[in-house]
Amino acid sequence: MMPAITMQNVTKTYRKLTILDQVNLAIRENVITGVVGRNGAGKTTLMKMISGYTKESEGELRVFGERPFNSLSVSANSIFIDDMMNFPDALSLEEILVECERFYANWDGELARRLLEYFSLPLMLKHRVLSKGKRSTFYAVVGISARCPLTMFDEPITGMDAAARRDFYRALLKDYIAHPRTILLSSHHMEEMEDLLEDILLIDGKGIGFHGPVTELQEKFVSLQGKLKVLEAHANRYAVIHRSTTGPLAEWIVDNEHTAEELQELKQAGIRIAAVSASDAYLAMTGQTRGGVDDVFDAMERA
Amino acid sequence: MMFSTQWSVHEIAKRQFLFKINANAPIFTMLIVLQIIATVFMGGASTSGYESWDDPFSFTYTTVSNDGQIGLTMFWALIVGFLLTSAAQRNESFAFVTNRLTYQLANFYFFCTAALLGGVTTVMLGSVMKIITLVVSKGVIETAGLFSAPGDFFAQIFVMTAYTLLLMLVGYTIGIFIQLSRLFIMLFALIWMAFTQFSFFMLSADDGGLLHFFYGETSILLFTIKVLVAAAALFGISFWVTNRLEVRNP
Repeated sequence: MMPAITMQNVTKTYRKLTILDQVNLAIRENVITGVVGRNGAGKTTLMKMISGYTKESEGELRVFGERPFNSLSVSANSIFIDDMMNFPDALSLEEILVECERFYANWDGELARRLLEYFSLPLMLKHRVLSKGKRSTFYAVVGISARCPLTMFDEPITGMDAAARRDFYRALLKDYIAHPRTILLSSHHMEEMEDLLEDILLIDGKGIGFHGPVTELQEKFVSLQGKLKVLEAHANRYAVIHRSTTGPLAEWIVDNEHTAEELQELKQAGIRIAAVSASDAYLAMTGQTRGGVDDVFDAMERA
Repeated sequence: MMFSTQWSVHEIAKRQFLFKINANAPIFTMLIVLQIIATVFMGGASTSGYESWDDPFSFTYTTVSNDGQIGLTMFWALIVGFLLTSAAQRNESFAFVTNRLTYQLANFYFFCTAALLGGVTTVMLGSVMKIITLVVSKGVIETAGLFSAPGDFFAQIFVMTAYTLLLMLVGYTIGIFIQLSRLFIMLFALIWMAFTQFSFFMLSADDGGLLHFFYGETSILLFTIKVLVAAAALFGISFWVTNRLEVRNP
């Protein structure tokens, strides 16, 4: 199957700052891909380029085979949802839904109204007066109901409470199963959305840190659990990416590169070997080891 | 290749235009408010005077015109043109389906509609002024009206609409260049200063100044051609900029 989005050596610079550098990638069609990366990694830049809002500085970007910048077809078949949607201030939610119907061929107004009723969003309100969480919910409902072949959500859950977030993911998944489409979903809450995702696109250091199925990301790492002394004695040849201690046991997340004998030795020493969750793997890949900022304060105290 | 939805440029431009009319209803409210202000507070720019020669001849006179409404409508036109270049306007349109061509076309359709509304209401206010004068000054003004001289009446509407449209396009073109780079503010300020210095806009300049080029034209056909050429030029220049503007960047 032909990929929905392809990039060949795509670079995006803003003024003199390079945000994405020589990116190559192919996003599969009708797959939910989680776009993850630290703040400022370039997730939003990537999606704005795909939606045709901004122009790639170099390289070749194709969405459904067409260059998105100034493409009416790409615009008609894609929607980009984030927490700064610029709907006109003069229109109420009801009127915005009417406009959506005008522009999106697959728009399901019935679904949108039912979802808004479920989330207790009154149709006669203006979207600016909504609270942050409610506004995000409204935008998310628009994103789901538009049923665009390419649907992009950039931090859609900003401000939503736990129940709304859970409902959003559930609604998205149900509608995706009924109406498969290519979905890009970015969020910092990997642990909440990892059940939903098929692929992960990790943006790190102006490029792609990882792109592939979620299980493949998990398999890059392994978690070793045991008494700290035992770990120090038997597992010291591995590069430890993350250390944590809970009660008497210590947990080390290490690269999943070891021979069968090594594995056997670790097991005999009483070390439990477990798979890591996708979010732990993601945190490990981007170096977001918990407590890292402590080093800054420790260093200041010593000085 | 694999698009499930395909729209023509014309269809999306039309839908964007309808969307723009809905989203920018306050712009029309603003026109009505400005015209009420012009009519009520400026008295339709009426001036009174007293002239006396040697006794026993003297007379007082009052001139009544709808220059106030015309001025404010033109001011409104310039502002509307400028307003539609704002980043917010661009973001609103791009939240739905569009590209830069359909966006520009929708703006142009919007200007045509707004200009027609401005033209019609302003000329109609001229009739309102006559009624006010009839009541206040007890005098009847005989000028071209819809029934006495329909040709003149529609010519007035046409010319007012044309001026309004041109001013909107001027405001739009200036605004879109400023969107491209803030440095254009300086450039436009300099141009303005230079033009006013050289009495470019002086109404007395009947030696072929830019404004005289339009208002000095006595043939309605030539006037139409001049307006069309000027509108096409402004549309082309502004589209050259629109076509390279990025949306929501950064």
